[in-house]
Amino acid sequence: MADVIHMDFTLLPTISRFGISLGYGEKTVEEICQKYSVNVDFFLEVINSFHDKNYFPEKKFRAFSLKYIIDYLKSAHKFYLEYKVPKIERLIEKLIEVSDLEKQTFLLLKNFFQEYVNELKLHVKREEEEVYPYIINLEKSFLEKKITKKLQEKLQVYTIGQYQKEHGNIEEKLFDLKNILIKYVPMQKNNNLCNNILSELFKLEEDIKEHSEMEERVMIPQVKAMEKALKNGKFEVEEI
Amino acid sequence: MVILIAEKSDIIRTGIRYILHEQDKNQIVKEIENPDKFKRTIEKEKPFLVFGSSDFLNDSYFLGLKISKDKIKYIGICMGAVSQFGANFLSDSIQIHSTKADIFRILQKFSTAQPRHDFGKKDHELTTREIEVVCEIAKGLTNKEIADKLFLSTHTIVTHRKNITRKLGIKTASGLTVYAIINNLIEIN
Ligand SMILES: [Fe+2]
Ligand SMILES: [Fe+2]
Repeated sequence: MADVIHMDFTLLPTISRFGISLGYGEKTVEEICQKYSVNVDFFLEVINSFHDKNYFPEKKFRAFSLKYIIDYLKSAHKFYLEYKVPKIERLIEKLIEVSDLEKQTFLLLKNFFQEYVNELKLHVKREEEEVYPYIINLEKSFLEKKITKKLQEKLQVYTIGQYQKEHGNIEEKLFDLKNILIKYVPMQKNNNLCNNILSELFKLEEDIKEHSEMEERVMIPQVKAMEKALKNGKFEVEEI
Repeated sequence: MVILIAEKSDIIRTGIRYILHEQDKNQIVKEIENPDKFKRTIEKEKPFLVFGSSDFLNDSYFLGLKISKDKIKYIGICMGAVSQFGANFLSDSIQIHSTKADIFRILQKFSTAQPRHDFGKKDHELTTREIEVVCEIAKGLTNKEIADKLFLSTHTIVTHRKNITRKLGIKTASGLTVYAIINNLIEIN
């Protein structure tokens, strides 16, 4: 496992997202995964897709239980909202604090970033409170080949297609913020701080992109297949 | 300006890259071997020229395409008949036994139409009209309202917005507001 980090240290946040922390000792990837009860195949596919941006084995991902995938997606949300966002906020605060002439500009940036964060929070909230529980329920039904009346009724009015349609681009504001910083922020003395913010924004954007890809190219198609099977299949109906 | 080689075989990819670099050692050449990743790589690298085998350049790729096909030139890497490809969409093709000269000819043909780089070109500055539109967007007006105010059609405003986004790299209305304030186009209130 230590070799993995030596080869690509940018994988660190991805690895800790699985609940795995440093102090690997001499253990192999497989042993570490066992220790933390992580599915080693899933783990490997995820870190490989982060390591090589051209690698995204959607077919392999689709073979994993949605429960794994959702657990993983949730911990990514947590990482964005509890770690990345506050970190960027602190950096922007710092920038405002140390600047004099450009204070006004940076206050604008702060507001703009805040708008983005609110959008992100809303997005995450909807997924965690509505979409993911629905999917978990669906998968359970599918695996047990039993469908509750409640779910059956829900399937009449709701499908994942609705979520897919609205699963819009949440990176737009990040994209804008990057360009404003790169192109339009007036010359000033706090270059290092600005660079720092920029590289954080780039990293966050890339991470979220990978995340959305997982939702759109792995989760949604799998859910669609299950919905279809549950609608057409002759599953036992439970009277609950 | 990126050239992309989309091909499963290491030998063929490496060979084409070698020939391309022989012509111009500074040419940026990207490679991709996994068809699943093709679309995403195109969007990311925005090549002007793509050499690709039928694993990549097939109907299912071309029919799902959003970017109009005349922006990117597609050159088929053929093992046999061109018909395995989304053939109507190819600009040209090479055979597995093509010579260096064939590839140079293709480069010549498609590179001349394409400026090697656009640094220093001034088409990123906003026109007076576009600045006007930015100001109105920044004040929170909708396309329709801006159209009425400037006596233009909504369609024209949409076009202006597209050009503004392309030039500035800013997509959202609130991003444009920040831009407008930083550049003193409007007052903060
Ligand atoms: Fe998500
Ligand atoms: Fe999402």
